[in-house]
Amino acid sequence: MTLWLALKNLKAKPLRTLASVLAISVCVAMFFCMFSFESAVYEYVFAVETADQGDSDIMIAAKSGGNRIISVAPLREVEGVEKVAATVSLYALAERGDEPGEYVRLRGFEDGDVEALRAVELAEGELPVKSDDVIVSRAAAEHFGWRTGGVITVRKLTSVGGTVNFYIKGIAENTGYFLSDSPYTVLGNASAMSSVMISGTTVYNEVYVTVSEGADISEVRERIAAMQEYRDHTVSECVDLDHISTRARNLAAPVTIAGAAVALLCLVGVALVFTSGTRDRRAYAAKLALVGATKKRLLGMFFVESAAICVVGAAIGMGLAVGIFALMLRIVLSSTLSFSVNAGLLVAAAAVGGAVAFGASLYPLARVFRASARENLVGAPDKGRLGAVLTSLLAAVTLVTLLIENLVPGGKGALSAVNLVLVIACAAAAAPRLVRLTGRVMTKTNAPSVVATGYSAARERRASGSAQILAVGMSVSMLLFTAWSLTTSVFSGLTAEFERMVLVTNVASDVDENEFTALDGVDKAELMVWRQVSVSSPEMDAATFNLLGSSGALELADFAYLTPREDVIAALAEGKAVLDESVRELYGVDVGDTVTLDIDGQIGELEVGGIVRHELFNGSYVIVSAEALADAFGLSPDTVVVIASSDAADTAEMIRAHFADRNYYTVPALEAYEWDTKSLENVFDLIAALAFMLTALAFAVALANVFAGRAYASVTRSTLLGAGLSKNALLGAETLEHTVSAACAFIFALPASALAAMCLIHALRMFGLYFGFMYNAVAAVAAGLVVAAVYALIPVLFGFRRGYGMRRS
Amino acid sequence: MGKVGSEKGCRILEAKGVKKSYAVGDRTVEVLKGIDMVVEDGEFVAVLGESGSGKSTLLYILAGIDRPTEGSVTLLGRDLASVTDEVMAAMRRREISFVYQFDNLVPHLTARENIILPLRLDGRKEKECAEVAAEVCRFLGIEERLDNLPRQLSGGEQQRVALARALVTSPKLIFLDEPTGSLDKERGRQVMELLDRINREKGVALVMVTHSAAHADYASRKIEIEDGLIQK
Repeated sequence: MTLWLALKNLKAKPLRTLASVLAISVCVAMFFCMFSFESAVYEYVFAVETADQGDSDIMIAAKSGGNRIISVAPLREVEGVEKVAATVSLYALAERGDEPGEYVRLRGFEDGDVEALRAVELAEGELPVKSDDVIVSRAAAEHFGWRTGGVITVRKLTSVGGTVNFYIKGIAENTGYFLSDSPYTVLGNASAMSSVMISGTTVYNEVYVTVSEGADISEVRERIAAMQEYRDHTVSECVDLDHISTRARNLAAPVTIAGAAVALLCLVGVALVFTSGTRDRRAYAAKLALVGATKKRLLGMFFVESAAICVVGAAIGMGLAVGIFALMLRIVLSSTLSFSVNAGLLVAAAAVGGAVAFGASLYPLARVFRASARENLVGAPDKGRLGAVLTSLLAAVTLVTLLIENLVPGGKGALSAVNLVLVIACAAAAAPRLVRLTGRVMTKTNAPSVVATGYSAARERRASGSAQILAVGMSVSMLLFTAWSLTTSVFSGLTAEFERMVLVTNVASDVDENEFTALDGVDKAELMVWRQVSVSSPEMDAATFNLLGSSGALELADFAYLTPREDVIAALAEGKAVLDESVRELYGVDVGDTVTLDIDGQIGELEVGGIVRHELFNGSYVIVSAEALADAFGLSPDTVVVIASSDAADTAEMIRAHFADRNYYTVPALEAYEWDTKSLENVFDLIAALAFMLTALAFAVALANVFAGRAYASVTRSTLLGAGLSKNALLGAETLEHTVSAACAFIFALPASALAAMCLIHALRMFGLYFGFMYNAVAAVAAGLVVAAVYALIPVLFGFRRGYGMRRS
Repeated sequence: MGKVGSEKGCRILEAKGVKKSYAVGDRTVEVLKGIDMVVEDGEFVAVLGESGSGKSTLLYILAGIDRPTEGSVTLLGRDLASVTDEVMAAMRRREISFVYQFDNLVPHLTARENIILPLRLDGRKEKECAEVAAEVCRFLGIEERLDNLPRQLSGGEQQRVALARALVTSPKLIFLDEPTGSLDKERGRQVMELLDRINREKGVALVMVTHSAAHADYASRKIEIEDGLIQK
């Protein structure tokens, strides 16, 4: 019977049921994305980062300017080594008819063994047979117009010039070796590839070692590094999990936060949808009580009803989760990489989403059971001042937790996420009270429309309910719009600063910088170490940082000096490290502390000599002088950072042409980090899309509340008309009522969005991300005002006047 | 103010010193100022009074829907002050019924489903419910349109369905709050004739609130309330 009544009620309210199911589905999907996104991004970054080496564990590479020819034979004798794969890797310009040449990466294996590190997934053709056979990816073939049987001509890296031809034997899918296909890879045999650099000899400059099962990778690496043959080479472990984690975390954090915002709004939506039906529920409960339904049975019926909605919503959400997850991955990673769905996480997301939504749906039941059957029957308003007390309590709790967050050390983080919710909840609780107060004041005036508005604002649930919905919707959309605007402007500023930078890697450590500055279009050139290192300290777990290995790095970008500039320069000269402000803020590492740098297994400690600020790489960088790196780690500069006077692409092209006989890899900085910048751009676009979507959603819920409320108010309208109010005055009254709701919501949503922005920035610390407080009031006000204006004009836009009449239904 | 009611027969309802007051802003409004009354088995009592006299409040208190501020109500031998929610619900399913002016029916249940609702809530089998409902509907002459939703029925039809639902549990007492208030004269008369038949042929006691003297004439006894007190 209980189930029958619950199902009947669900069927009787199809729109409410549909809206609730939809909100719960999206909520579950968002929970799943929050739970799974970082690990999926991690999987993807891992696949990209390990595309070159397959399952091998150790890589031996030639140091820039060092001996490029590696002897492979001694490696096979090292204890713990199972397999050795020697390769040559070169950057050369592939000719494209009359157009300028374009970089390709030539990668050669021991003859006939291109699958030494991993299998190749061929789309057409065969694997290389003859020495000058090669395979390319499908993407490269599309880009260059290459076909199986075609020829690739690359320029020789010798002072005498000339070209070498390779013959395309097959085209592979964009997987495996070709997953990280930037620049496009041409895969073939080392003997032919070597001829690009040197004639008549097969050379190798990257050797990959697979360690036997059970052997310790770091021990084997140390054994190899200690060997005479490899002292001049870099011997490193292939997989840097810290680096992969950092990349994945940086990319996933904004998506996780945005997903949480959507999930929160969906839950609020569920509660509001059920709240909007409170009047019906109270009448329904009263009627059932009067024919003998016990409170237990009523409670059971409402529980079953909510549970049915939540179970269906959660089930649909599980399906939706997979689709949204795939879409988000595709948007953010621009990849069609297949991913696995963790069934456990999917069920967990459904359980959490369903359970929380169930709780949210029960919230309005409190009103049903607080009132007597008679009060429910006649829809009597709530007794007492419980609402006011709860609002005051919520405000007090929020104030205290905000103070703790900002004043107590270590308060920023998880508590900030809680505060973000509390701040928006406060706005939602306060806005209806202001609507009712405004309504009471309006009833004291003499204008009929204003008085009519005043009564409905003061007493009708419609006006205050809309203000509540709008307060939540506006707060979240203002927050997302300001986040979008800020991240986009910070990102634009960052790209503007780097758009004139060109990276020339693979250079000899003794290259003369003046060779570059002598070229037309080059403003500055700085020889430095430019790579990634692992940094840790007693206060900070190991994390991957970008090492800017030269004192001259300070001149390349616009740093803010939190330690005086002269002290920073002096500290670098003394061999100390300079860190970003974020490290101090997140981990408390400050001037005078010691940090440990792990560079390819070589560990050294450096004193922190200064703190600067720059948004580069989310603040994850460390500046050390080239001399200090040479002393402490035997590290030589391998990159020339060039600042072009105008277009970086033209300057890069000119450098390539000028140094065509050297194995340099010259690329504009923004192009080098294209994947990261594109991914971040995609994340920002996603945030923007969510901002628009959530604004529309909040508006739709408010609209639904208006129409549901108006259905009950038809008698009031006809009474007002009967009492002599003109249709225009009635339209004015309704428009004014909407304006009051929107204005009251805006008044609370604006400060709530600023506080929420602060909380959001603090909450990002959970992901190891630090930003100073940023708030774009113009973007927030603009977003809020647009929502408020459209809401205020609903009576006019939807032609309410046409429906005015004296008939009573 | 005196005790109204016959000393003969079996008392099924007794109110003693019932007072009810509400807080309206800073003021306290006393709606009922001390009501004593008795209803006996099989009686048809009409409670008359002007709007705001407190007659509906009295009915809600007598039916156990509202609680008095002071005084006591004994319904079918039970003091309502000490009756639990479970017992009250069981009484509503088996011994008493309530019909109000309009909007009696659950809007998304058909007329038939509304009629058998108390039986279904009491755990009776569907077949048994259908048999009882058919008999009641025959008695009230509403065998058609039982599969329609309330909004598809006229006001008079809705009230007859409400009466059927009130009767289907074979109650000892039915409370009626202006049962003809939303109907036109003719339909009001038809409903009153049905009530009269229910009282006479089924022996069900009725307590009906009305402001219509004509409709009150159907009752075996009238009680007039004015300003929260029984006048006669």
